[in-house]
Amino acid sequence: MRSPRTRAGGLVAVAALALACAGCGGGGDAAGTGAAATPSQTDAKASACVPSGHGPATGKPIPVGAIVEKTGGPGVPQATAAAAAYYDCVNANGGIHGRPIKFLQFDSAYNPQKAGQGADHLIDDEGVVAFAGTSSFLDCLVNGSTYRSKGIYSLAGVAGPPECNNNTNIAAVDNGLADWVGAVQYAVEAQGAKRIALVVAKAGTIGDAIVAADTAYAKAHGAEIVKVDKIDNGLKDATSVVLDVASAHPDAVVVNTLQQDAIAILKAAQSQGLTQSPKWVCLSLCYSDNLPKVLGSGWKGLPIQTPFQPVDAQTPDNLLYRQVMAKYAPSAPLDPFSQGGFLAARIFTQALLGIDGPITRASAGKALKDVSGFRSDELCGPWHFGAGAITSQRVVKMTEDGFELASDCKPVPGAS
Amino acid sequence: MPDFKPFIVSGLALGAIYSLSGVGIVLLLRTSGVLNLAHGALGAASALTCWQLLDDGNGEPLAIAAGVVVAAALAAGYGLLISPRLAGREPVVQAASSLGFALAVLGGCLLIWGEEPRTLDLSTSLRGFFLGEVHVNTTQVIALCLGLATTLVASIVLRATRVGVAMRSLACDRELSALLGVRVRRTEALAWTASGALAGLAGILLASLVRLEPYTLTFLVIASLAAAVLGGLRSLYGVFAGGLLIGVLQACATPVGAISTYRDATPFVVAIVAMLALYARGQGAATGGRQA
Repeated sequence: MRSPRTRAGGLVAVAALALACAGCGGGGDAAGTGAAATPSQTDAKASACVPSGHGPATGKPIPVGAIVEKTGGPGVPQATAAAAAYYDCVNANGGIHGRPIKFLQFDSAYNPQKAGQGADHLIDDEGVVAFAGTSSFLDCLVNGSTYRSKGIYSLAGVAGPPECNNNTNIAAVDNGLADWVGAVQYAVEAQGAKRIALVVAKAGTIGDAIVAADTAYAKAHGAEIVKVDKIDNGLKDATSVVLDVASAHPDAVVVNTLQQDAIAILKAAQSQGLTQSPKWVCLSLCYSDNLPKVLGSGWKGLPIQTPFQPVDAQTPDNLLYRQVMAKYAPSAPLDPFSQGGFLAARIFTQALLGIDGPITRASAGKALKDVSGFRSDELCGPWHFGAGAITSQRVVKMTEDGFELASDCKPVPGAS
Repeated sequence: MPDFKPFIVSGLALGAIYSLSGVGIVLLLRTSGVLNLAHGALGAASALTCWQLLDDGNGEPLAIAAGVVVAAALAAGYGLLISPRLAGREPVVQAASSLGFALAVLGGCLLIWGEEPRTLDLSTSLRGFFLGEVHVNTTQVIALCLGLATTLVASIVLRATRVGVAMRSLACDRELSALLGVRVRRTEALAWTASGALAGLAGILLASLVRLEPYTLTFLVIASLAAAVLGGLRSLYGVFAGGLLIGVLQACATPVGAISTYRDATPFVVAIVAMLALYARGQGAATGGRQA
């Protein structure tokens, strides 16, 4: 979250952007442009959150649910906050044919029992028509069978464990497998690494799945995973981890941890004089808009894998994302998680707008399930509901005060 | 067999952090009788204040001083307003109350600064030297020296000065101390203020060496408590050595594949072993006493 001073800066930015904010005033094309614009297109114009441009929606609310970890453990609530921001924008501009979206968030507190209770409560008591904007790491494992048995669909803003790919009622706007392997792919192809070390967050069984996928890719492409260091969230001995990794003499180190841990590791590596050799790659988990300020110029050029545009890209859809976040969720960080939550809400809104007739659980579920060919300049290609929608990855490089594309939309082998 | 030498050096730096915090906790325990679980949260408030002033373009001495003053003032406020009201209660009630204080300070930090990632780069962290393969920065050396100096000075003050004796007597028996002429409120406020200042200084060093994040700094107190337990919650030298031991063990677990994943549990394992050992020694002494 940003400091009060940043919030004040955000308000100034909102005031300036309000003059040109098509997303908050209506007009324009609801769909993304499809063409992957570059960050250098600074004169790009944002698209709109909904096409109508009418005043605030006042009809009967449409209940939509999300499971989120706001407390209790590793969580990325900014993804759900971004979905809420998008729905706020939709509601302020006419809603779904005059009906506002009532976005109901349930905090699982990183407790599987609570995650299950939350889904039951939202489905049975609140009558949600679907879930769209979930950011819980537990949700698909805990609630997958519930969604199937109750005939409800869920579109998550963040990737779940690989097991979730088999559930036909759940989809995400990101693909964990593509993220993990994409970073190793960059190390092998762009950095020429043969010996690779991994620093991975345990995160339940996900840590093991990451190591397995990365090892398989490395083996198939003439490289080797020479060291794996699994860490807990809240790392305190980053220097020891860096020394351990360096002791294996890798060509490249892939950091696959949440941002605070990644920063601790990178700072420790800098302190040990290891910024240039071995080479480093960070996953999208590790970056947000203020990373250049936090890491400083010592890490200028750090490559970061991401499925979306750089968070500061001036492409139409990313401009809309930034404008909506500045207006409706100014305290949430701008990072790939909030980009994902924003996209999930946007895709779901489009699906609802396309429904002819009453909006029910059945019609909303069908509309979501039938989404295919959704385009946005945030994404590398058309998105469809189901596994294998995201198969390509970008890599951005950190500059003095922002980010630039280093590698645009490269297919990741085995990610589909 | 891994080469443990770099990890011993790295572990000493980590252990110095546990030592510094542990000494601060035991110091207050010995001078006021309160196990202050808000020690880490006070450090977080101090570090964030320091960061804010640096971010606003102020000099490092002013920023550090302001952080220490904030932590000392918060501790003094608690020591003057809340702690005396619990003076007659069981130690566990007083400790639980300080946990509430910790959560209040943590909540205040989150309210003011949020969870935005940030780092506190002290100028001393940019300088250092290589010890074997490990680069040791000056902040790590300062943390180690400060822990040792605090241990030495506090031991001398508690044993050889009038105010130290007053503090110890206060921790032993508040009522009796008052009857003997100890100025209870003033002595207690002094103990809390000094402890708060130490927590503030430790927090700034921890933030620079580990991470500037309110949760981590607040709950680092748990690992420091393990160091305190190793010192029997009394011996400042024991706490200092205990902190270093925990740090070294934790760091040396990193390259050992079988236990590397569980290295974060090191402070707890050490604390449990220490408590069992203390219990066994107590049992042995009791049995020996009966036999005698």
